[in-house]
Amino acid sequence: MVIFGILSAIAITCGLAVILANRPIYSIIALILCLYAIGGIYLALHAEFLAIVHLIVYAGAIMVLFLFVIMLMNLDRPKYLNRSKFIQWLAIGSATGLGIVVTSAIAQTPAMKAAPIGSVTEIGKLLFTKFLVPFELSTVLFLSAVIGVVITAKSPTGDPDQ
Amino acid sequence: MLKYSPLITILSPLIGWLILTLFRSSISRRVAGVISSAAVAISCITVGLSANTILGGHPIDINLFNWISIPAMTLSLGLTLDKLSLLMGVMITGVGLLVHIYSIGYMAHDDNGTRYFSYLNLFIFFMLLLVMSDSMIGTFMGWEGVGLCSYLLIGFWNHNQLYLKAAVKAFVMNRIGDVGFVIAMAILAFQYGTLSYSELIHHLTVAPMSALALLTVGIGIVVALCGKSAQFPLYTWLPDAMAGPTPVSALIHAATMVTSGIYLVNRLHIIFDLSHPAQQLLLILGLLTLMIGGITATFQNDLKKILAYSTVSQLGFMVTALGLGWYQVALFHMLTHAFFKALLFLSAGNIIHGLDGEQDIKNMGGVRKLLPVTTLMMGIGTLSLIGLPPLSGFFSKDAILAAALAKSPIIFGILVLGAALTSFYMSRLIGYVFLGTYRGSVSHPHEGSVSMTGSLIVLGALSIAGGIFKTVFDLPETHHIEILLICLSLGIISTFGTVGIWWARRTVALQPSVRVIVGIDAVYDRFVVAPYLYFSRVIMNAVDRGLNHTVMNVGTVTRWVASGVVQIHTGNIGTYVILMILGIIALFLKVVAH
Amino acid sequence: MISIDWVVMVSTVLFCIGAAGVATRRNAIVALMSIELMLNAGILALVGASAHHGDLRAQVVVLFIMMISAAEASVGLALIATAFRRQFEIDLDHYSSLKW
Repeated sequence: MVIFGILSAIAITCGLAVILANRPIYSIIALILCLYAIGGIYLALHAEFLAIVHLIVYAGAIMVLFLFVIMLMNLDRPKYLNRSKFIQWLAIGSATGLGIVVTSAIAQTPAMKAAPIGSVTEIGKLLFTKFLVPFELSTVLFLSAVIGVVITAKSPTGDPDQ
Repeated sequence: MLKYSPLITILSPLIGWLILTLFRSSISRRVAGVISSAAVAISCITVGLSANTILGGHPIDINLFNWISIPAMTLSLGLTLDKLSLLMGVMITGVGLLVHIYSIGYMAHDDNGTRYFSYLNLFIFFMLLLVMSDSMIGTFMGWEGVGLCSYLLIGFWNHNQLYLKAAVKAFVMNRIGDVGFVIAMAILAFQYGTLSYSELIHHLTVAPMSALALLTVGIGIVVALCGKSAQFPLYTWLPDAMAGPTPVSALIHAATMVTSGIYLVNRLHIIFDLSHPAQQLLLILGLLTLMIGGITATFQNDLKKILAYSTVSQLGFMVTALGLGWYQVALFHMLTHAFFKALLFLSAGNIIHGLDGEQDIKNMGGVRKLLPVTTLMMGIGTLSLIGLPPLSGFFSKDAILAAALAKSPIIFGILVLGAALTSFYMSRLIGYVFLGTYRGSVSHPHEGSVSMTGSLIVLGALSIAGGIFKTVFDLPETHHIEILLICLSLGIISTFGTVGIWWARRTVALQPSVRVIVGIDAVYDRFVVAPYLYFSRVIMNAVDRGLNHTVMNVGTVTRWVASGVVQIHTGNIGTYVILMILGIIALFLKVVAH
Repeated sequence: MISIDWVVMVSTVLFCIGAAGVATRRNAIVALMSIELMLNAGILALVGASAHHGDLRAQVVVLFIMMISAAEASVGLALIATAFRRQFEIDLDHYSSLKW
């Protein structure tokens, strides 16, 4: 429980850092830390397989992708916050409101109890029986995403480098 | 056969109108004239043949159909030929026939002749409907119809804007009178549930209404009479109505339509018997009108206008007789007036036609040498009008004077004054037109055609001999004052006649005199027409434009609201996200609130 | 035993932080990252639910979500890169041609 508390504190702090950082590179670093913290929470929740996958996929692949884009395209521009103060406050306000609303909604649901499971074999079994079709379809999804990315990001003259 | 005679009488001119209207383009003027004259002739003959039966005391009634039958009211349309409608019918068809025949000659050069004759026939139909109907509603239909035909005929030469305005003026003033008619009808119908004359008279004798109701009905009829028979204050349309062809003036505005009011009061004389104030009103209006007509006539320079104002004045005489309670005296004068006024108008038509359209008496003179027959006829008409014994006009004027003398010497005095005026302005006319030397510029003045002259001669004979009809009417006793009246008439005629002719000879060389504008029209313009136009303009601005703007503004408001709402589309993703979040919050709240 | 209330609370907070970030930040990349943060918050809630109920199906769903988010992140970055190559602007306010 204590670990959960520490990890969630780190996650929240890093989340705030993501949106408040001066430069995008700081945001990325903060996000990586945040993702680590969340992975840790997964472990605390006895979802081991998921924790590993999370770290590999998110922190390892997606964030590296972000880093690459920012570095290669020289997008490391200084702080860009929406100039209109009104919009800023409105955004913060609405987000807070959302938080309050959801929390109060949850507070009204009765608490429940259960036992923890999280082994790899169990997940594997489910994946290839009940969720087989979505699994196959996700491969199609990846294929289309890859093709889309390649075509979109191709430079107009056909040159692989930009 | 005889029991259908009212129907035949009425339908004949209607069919004539129908034929002439449907085949207007293919019938020539001459044929049209013959057809229309024949139609009226048929009516005349039918009426004449029925005269014997009716005068023997058996009126002919035909019930056409029941129009409305509800518990509150029954309205039926029918025709009745009794003594009153017989008299009117004879006058209408007789004078009408003569005018039709005259018109054949008069309109010989007019391209629109067929249309003219169709209107004339239509007019005869409506006038006959007016006098032969057995209920007020039928009379009203005829009333409206003759107003319509008057409008059509006054504005016959419709290329002239002035004539059209005169036609509209006549129609509108008639209409004002119609309001009175409708009010009278409404009260009677409401009270007694019927508009049939026989039933109304029966009810009024047995169970008369309150004095106030009777007075209102009386006033309504008087208003209607003022509109139709050109009494003060609704008389100004009659002089302007001279814009129509002269035979029209002779028929409609001398002999028939303007006498509708007299007829109506005769039919419903019981109302005026029962309501003394209404009768007083008739008397006052009659006296007023005859003086106004007479005075105005002495200042006119247009041949037809003099005759028009003379008609107004003579109608005033008739209404005075009605106001004195001697209804049949008015009828007698109406009959003789029909003869000599039609004669005068048709002779004037001859003069105008012969002098190629000249109507200003200042430009005439010495016409007795140019148009001798016409001169003779016009002379006969004038002498009858001013009441020279033993012409017909004398007898009828005699009767009115006798009735007035019996009532009050003041009224008698006014009537004598009126007769004096009549002598004066008519002899002035004679002096200007017929005596002296010709002052005009027409090269070939010519007499009218046979048809025109023939009608004149018939009317002339009737004007002379019309006095024999006096036995038909119920007139006051005059034996004791007969000599007095004869001397009085001769005296008036000789003095004022001479004065008139002398006056004419003296002023003939003078330049056109001051135009006397009759004040009534100006009063109308200022107090009736101008406020009405102003009011209409106010309504147009407030209601029409206001409504227009309101409707347009609905669109403008919608667009304004839309322009405000569309600001949400900022194109900024951040904003959209915020809006989504707000939406989600709203949804949550809605769900959680349950 | 971590009670699910806390997990969902944390998840909610992270989600709201991400939402504020998307709404506020003008840099497109950071906005995309905020979206990732939101996704992660959702995943956290799912995992917590799975731990609570003992149902593994939630974790399988989480796997799929991760796959999808990976694909979506890459496509999003490709789009941003292309847009940047054309307009040389990474400021989201610049891309407002949908404005009325």
